[in-house]
Amino acid sequence: MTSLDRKLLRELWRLRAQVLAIALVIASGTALLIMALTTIEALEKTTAAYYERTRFADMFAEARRAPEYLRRDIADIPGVRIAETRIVEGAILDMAGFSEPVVARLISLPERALSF
Amino acid sequence: MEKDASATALQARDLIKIYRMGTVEVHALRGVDVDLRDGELVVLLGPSGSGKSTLLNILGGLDRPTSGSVVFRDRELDMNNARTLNLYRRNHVGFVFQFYNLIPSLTARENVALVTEIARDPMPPSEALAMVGLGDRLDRFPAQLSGGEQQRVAIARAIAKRPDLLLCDEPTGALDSKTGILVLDAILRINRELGTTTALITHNAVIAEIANRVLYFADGRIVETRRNSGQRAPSELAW
Ligand SMILES: Nc1ncnc2c1ncn2[C@@H]1O[C@H](COP(=O)(O)OP(=O)(O)OP(=O)(O)O)[C@@H](O)[C@H]1O
Ligand SMILES: [Mg+2]
Repeated sequence: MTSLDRKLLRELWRLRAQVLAIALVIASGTALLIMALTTIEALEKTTAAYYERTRFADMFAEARRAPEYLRRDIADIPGVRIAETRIVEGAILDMAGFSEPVVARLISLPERALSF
Repeated sequence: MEKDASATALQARDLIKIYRMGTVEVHALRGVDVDLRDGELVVLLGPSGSGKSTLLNILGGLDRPTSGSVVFRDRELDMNNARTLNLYRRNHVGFVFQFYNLIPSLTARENVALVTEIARDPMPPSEALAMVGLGDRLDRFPAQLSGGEQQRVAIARAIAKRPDLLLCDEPTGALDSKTGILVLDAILRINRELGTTTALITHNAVIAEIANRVLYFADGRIVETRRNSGQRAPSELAW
């Protein structure tokens, strides 16, 4: 061991309280960082798993006017999982017990369920 | 053999050193010529601020002159080459400063070992410390040594690599006369026994009596050189 190494060791030993404190601060900081990263990762996995299980799309898009013959073209766009043509209309209802008008949204159902 | 006839260890020519601080210029050296002969003991005397330390630092490769040359053993030192200067200092020069500059967390022996671990042909640290009369203080830390003992450790550290040149900048400046004499004794002994060319700065004119030659400094120049007819032993001095 050279004298310089000895100097290093002795001075570290003399400053052991500070060295320990600094080491603890660094260790707890690192632990906190790792915990935060793991939490983020877990949350992201949970989100992905939930979307997967419930077949929840990342994005829904509606086209205002899409006749039946466009359905194929739309379904062929890369990334599109399902394209459904439905009729969607709004209506205003008079309902007993409500003083304000009630808005209804009428959505047609496909004839049969689409398979994924 | 006459000292005059011996080889020149170090030769400096027309050294000029100008410190620039903003627009102010300090002329620390105004053209200094020095020759140090092999094995010679030279004392530099002069008022504060006359440029003694500046000269010693340049001779030892710690500082660069603004102009002028330093020739060590017939080879001119390239003052602009940090590596050359580094090797010159490491292999040839030992320095002793007024304030010992020992490392507090290392013992006397380890302080000396710092140098012997990288020197080419060092003596063992214990031998160097024995030469300065500290053979029984090897494992003491600087804080456990008196000022004079610390300075002698610093001398041991400077001479353990058997330098060709020993440069001492006010080695006794911080010591009382009794301890100062011990330190001078150590320097003189190394000068005699190892034949180390030695230059020593002091403010104390009495100390000049131990030298072969005395250089008087004033205002950045050597104004007088005196050769002592005989060297006096430090123990004969009193101040
Ligand atoms: N780093 C520096 N920057 C600017 N000026 C400096 C520097 N070092 C020294 N000087 C100036 O150079 C001149 C010579 O200084 P030097 O240290 O060589 O004097 P000295 O003879 O050793 O004095 P002393 O006996 O007090 O140690 C002084 O005027 C000093 O102020
Ligand atoms: Mg000085």
